[in-house]
Amino acid sequence: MDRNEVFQKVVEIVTPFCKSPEALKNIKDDTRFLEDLQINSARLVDIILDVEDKFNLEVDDATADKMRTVGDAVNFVMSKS
Amino acid sequence: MKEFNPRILYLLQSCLSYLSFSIVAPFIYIYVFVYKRSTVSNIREIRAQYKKLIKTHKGPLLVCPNHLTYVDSLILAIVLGSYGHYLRYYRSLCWNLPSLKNIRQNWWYRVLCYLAKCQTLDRQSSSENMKNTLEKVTELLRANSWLTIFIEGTRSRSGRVNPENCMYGVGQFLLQFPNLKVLAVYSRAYSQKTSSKFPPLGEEFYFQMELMTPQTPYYGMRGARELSMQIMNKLVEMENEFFKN
Repeated sequence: MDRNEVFQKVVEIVTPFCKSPEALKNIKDDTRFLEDLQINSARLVDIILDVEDKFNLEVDDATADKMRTVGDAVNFVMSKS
Repeated sequence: MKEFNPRILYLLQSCLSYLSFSIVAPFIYIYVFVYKRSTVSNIREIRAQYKKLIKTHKGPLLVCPNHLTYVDSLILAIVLGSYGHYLRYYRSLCWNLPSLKNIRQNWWYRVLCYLAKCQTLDRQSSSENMKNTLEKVTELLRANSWLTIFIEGTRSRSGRVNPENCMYGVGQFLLQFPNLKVLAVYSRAYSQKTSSKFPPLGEEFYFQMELMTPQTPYYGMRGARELSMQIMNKLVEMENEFFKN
């Protein structure tokens, strides 16, 4: 899977939790989950678990803690593939 | 600086809280039930169930209510037990975990919270804060304390239990303490439509509770989510029951 495909899949994952449609339209690698997409912090766990399910991998707590942007999530998936 | 054993600090807080409760609480009961004439039709059954619970359950307990007003914990406490009940079984007056953000500015609120058996939590999302929160709550649970935790995290603006607001931290406590019992409580004034600062006192309140022991085969974040959602789904089920009647 190339980086662009992973990026699109991550966008699909975050879309239902996103409270800012405007930020979603301009989503980039450095788009932040909490501040830009205005995702409820409690929902970050859902996003991480969805990433685990979609890409069939495991995210440890320390990595989950560092996942602040769309790019962080994409880079993590790429590093595991 | 020398660090005190948290259990001794909690015990000290609990003792001071007991003293202030014995002085202040009668006025609260009189204000809510006599002066404002608030009623709960099944209050005798509720209190009998709660009394039975404190007599039979020696371990820790999480009380997870729905959340509509700032004083839900207070209303919950005075419905669950009478003044005499708490004088005898003070352990059953639950600890509360308000957000530090709400009381940081005002030292009077801090004193009030201290005496009302509260442990403040910094809920800003960081692993350090989360760790501190877990440690505080774990210590209380190890001491077999009873705690009120609002699983929605915030008052429900729509007036309905909102699974989208579910906080999975509760599930983490349940993972740490397998077989920890949870008392799911659904309450609201019949006329309450959406969230508000205070409930409409002077009216009739609906009140239901159910004891549960959430279980999951999962661990980590997935396990915490699963356990928290079991409580959330129970509250949704209880709410559906309320609106059906």
